[in-house]
Amino acid sequence: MRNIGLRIGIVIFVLVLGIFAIYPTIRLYTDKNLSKESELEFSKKAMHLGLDLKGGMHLILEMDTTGFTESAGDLRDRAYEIIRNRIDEFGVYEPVIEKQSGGRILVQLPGVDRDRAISLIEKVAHLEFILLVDEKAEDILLQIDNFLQVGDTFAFEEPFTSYIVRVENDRGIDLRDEDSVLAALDRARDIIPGDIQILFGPKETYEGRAVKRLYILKKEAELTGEVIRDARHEQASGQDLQHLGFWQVNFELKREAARKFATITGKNVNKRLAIVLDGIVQSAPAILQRIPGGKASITGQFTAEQARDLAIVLRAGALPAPLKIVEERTVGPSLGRDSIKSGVRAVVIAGAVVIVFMLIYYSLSGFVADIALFLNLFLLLAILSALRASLTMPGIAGIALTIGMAVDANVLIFERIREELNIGKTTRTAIDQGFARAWITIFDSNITTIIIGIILYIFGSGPIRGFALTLTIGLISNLFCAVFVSKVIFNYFTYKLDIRKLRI
Amino acid sequence: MIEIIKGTNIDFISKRKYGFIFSSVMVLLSLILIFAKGPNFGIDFTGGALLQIRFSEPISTSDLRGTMGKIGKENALIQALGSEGREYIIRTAEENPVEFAKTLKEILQKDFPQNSQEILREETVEPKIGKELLVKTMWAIIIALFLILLYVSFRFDYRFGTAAVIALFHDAIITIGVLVITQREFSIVVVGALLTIIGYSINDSIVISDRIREKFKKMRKEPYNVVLNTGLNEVLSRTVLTVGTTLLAVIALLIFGGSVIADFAFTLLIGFIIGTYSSIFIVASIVSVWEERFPKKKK
Repeated sequence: MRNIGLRIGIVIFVLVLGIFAIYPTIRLYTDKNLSKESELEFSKKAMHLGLDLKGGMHLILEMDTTGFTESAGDLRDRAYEIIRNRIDEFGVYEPVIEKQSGGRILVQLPGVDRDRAISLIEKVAHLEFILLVDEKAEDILLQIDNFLQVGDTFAFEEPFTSYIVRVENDRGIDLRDEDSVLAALDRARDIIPGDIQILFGPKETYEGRAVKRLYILKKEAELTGEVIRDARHEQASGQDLQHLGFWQVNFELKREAARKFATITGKNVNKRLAIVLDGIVQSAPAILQRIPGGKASITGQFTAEQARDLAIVLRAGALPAPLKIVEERTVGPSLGRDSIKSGVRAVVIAGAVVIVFMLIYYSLSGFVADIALFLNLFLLLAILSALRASLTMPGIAGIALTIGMAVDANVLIFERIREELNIGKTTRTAIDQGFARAWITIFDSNITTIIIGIILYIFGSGPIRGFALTLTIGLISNLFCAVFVSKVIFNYFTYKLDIRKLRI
Repeated sequence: MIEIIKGTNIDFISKRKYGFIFSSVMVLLSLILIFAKGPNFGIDFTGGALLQIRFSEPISTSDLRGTMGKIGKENALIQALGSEGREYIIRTAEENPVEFAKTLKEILQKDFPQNSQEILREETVEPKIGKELLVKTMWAIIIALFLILLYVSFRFDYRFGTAAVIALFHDAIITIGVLVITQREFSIVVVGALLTIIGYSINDSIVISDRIREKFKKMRKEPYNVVLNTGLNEVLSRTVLTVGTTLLAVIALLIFGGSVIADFAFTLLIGFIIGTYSSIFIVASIVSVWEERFPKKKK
C-alpha cells in the first residue's frame, strides 16, 4: 500500500483539472440565460458540435485554372481572401475557411441556408459595363433568321425572330423556348459579327410569364475589373413600376474607374450601357447625360436578401476564376437534432446496460468498475473540451464503444483477482497480484486499438476522425481510470478501512 | 457474486476441424461474393450524390422510382428509412453529382407539389475526389496493417503472431462478405469500422495467447494441446464478458443510434462477433496444427 495518500492526491488533482476543463462546456450547453459575452467566452473554451450534429455545410471548392498564367496556388490564395471577406460580411457564426493542397479551398459553415450560401460563395462576381448596339440589332436578328432558313439542316418550324417576345421596351424570350433559342444561336454563331455578342438578362416575370430579356451588345467591355469601391442594397424607389417592391444595389466606383465612367457616359449619351455580372445583363439603362460621380445601381426583381448578398459580393470583389464544388456534405438542422437525440440515447442506454451488468456480475467490485467508467466518461468529455474538439456523430459512436470496451480492463483485473482468491490467497495479495498480472495484458490489448485510432485520425477524412478521436482518448484515459483509480479505491478499502472480505 | 462461465473445460482443439471447415467455407464464400458482386461502394469512393429527404406525406418507393425514371435514373438506390414511408435516402454514382442533385430536387418539387420535401442531408462527391479518397484510405489501411504486423512481430511469439494475422484477415474478409450480401453501403466510415475490428480482434488474440504462454511455463509436462485448451478455457469467461459488454454498446448504437450511424454499427457488430469467434476457435487451432506438423524442440 505504498503512498496511498499520494495516489489519492493524484486522483483528486486530475478530477479538479477535469472540472475546470469541462465547466465552460457544461455552462454553454445547459445554461439558457447566458449573456452574449459569457456565451462567447465559454465557447472559446468548450467542446463544439460537429456540422453533422448542429446542421451546416461542408464544401470543398476547386478552381478551374485552365487558361491562367498565374500558379494555381496564387489564384487559390486570392480566391480564399475574397471568399473569407464574403463570408465575414455575410455573418456566419464560427466559419471554417482553409486553404488545401491542389489549389482547393475548404469551407465549413454551421447552420446556414444552403442555396443562399452556395450562391454567395460560387458567384464569380465579374462585373462589366458594355454598350448596347441597338442600331444594329434588327439587322443581326434578320441575318440569323435568313441564315437559319437558307442553309438549314436544323429542324426548325419557325424562323428565329418568332421566338422573340416583348418585355417592356426590350426584346426577350419565353423561358420555355430557352433551349431552342440557345441551339439556334449556337448554330448561327458564325454569322454574328465578331465584335458583337448576344447576352440574356436574369429570369424574371413579365405579364404573368417567365421570361429573360435578350440584349445585343458590343463584345468588348468599356469598363471591367476591380472597380467597385462600395455597394449597398436599398429598396427600389416608387417611379419604376416594373421594380416596385423589389430591391436594388447601389454602388460607387473607385476614383480611377469613376473618371473613366464619366468619359464613357459623356461620349455615349442616349445610348444604353449594360451592367453585366458574370455574363448576365443585370440592367441596361439609357445614358441620359454624363455621370461624373461614379455612382450607379443594379435594378431587377431582387428580394431584400438577394440584393444584400449581391452587395456583399460586389464589395468583396470578384473571384479570379470560377470555383467548382468538388465535395459537399450538408446536413439540415432537423437531422442534426435527430442525430444528437439518437446518439445521446444510444450512449445512455449502452452505459446503463453495462453499468447494471457490472453491478450484478461483480457486486460491490462492479460498483468500483462503474465509478471508474463514470470517471472515464467525465475525463473523456473534459479532454474533448480542453482540446476544443468537435463532437460528431461517429464521435458519439466512439464514446458508446469506449463504454463497451472500457470495462474490459476491469473484467481482466477482476477475473484475475477471482482466480487468485480461488487458489487461497488473502484479499490484499489477490488484489495486488490481480492488478499486477492484468496490467500487461490490459496495456497490450488497448494499444492495438489505440494504434488504429491514431492512424484513423491522421489519415481518415471528415467524420471518421471524430470517431478516432473519442475512441483513442477514451481508451487512454481508461488506462488511468480502470487501472490506477480503481486500484486506489480497492487499496483504500482493504488497507485504510481494513475490509478483509472482497465481494467480487 | 455470479459466474456465468465457471471452470469450463471445453476441448476446443479436438474440434478444430469444424472451426477450420466453417471458416474456410465462410472465407471462400466471402471472397467469391467480394470478387463476383463487389462491395456496394458508397459515393465516398465512386463519386456521386446522396440525398436524404423527408416528405410531409407518406410516399411509396415505386412512386419515387417512377420520378427517378423521368430523369433517367431508375437504377438509383432508394432506401426507405423508418416505418412511416416519409423519409428516404436516394443515392447514385454520378459523373456530375452537383447537377444531378439539383435536377433531382427540381423534379421532386414538380412531381409532388402537394407533398413538401425537406432535404435532411445532401452529399455530393466528384468522381475525382472519390478516387483520391480511395487512395488515401488504401494508404491508411496499408499503414495500419503494417504497424499492427510490426507490433505483432515483436510482441507475439512467431507462431501465435502468424496465426493472429491469419485470423485478422479472416475477420476482415468475412465481415466484408456480410456487407456485400446485405448490400450495406461501403463508405469511409465503414472502412473505419473495419480497422477498428482489426484492432479489436488482435486485442482478443493477445489476451488469449498471453494466457497460453503463461500456461506453457506452468504446465511443462502436459501435452501441447492440453495446455492450449486450458489457456483458452481460463480466459473464456473474460472473453465472453468483455465482448458481451462491447456488443451491448454496439447493439445500442445499431438500434437507437439513428440512420446516420447504422451501417457503421452494423459493421462493428458483425466484425466483433467474427473476431471473437476466430480468437477462440482459430488462432490456437492453427498453432496446434503447426505444432503437430513441425514440433518445437523441447528445451
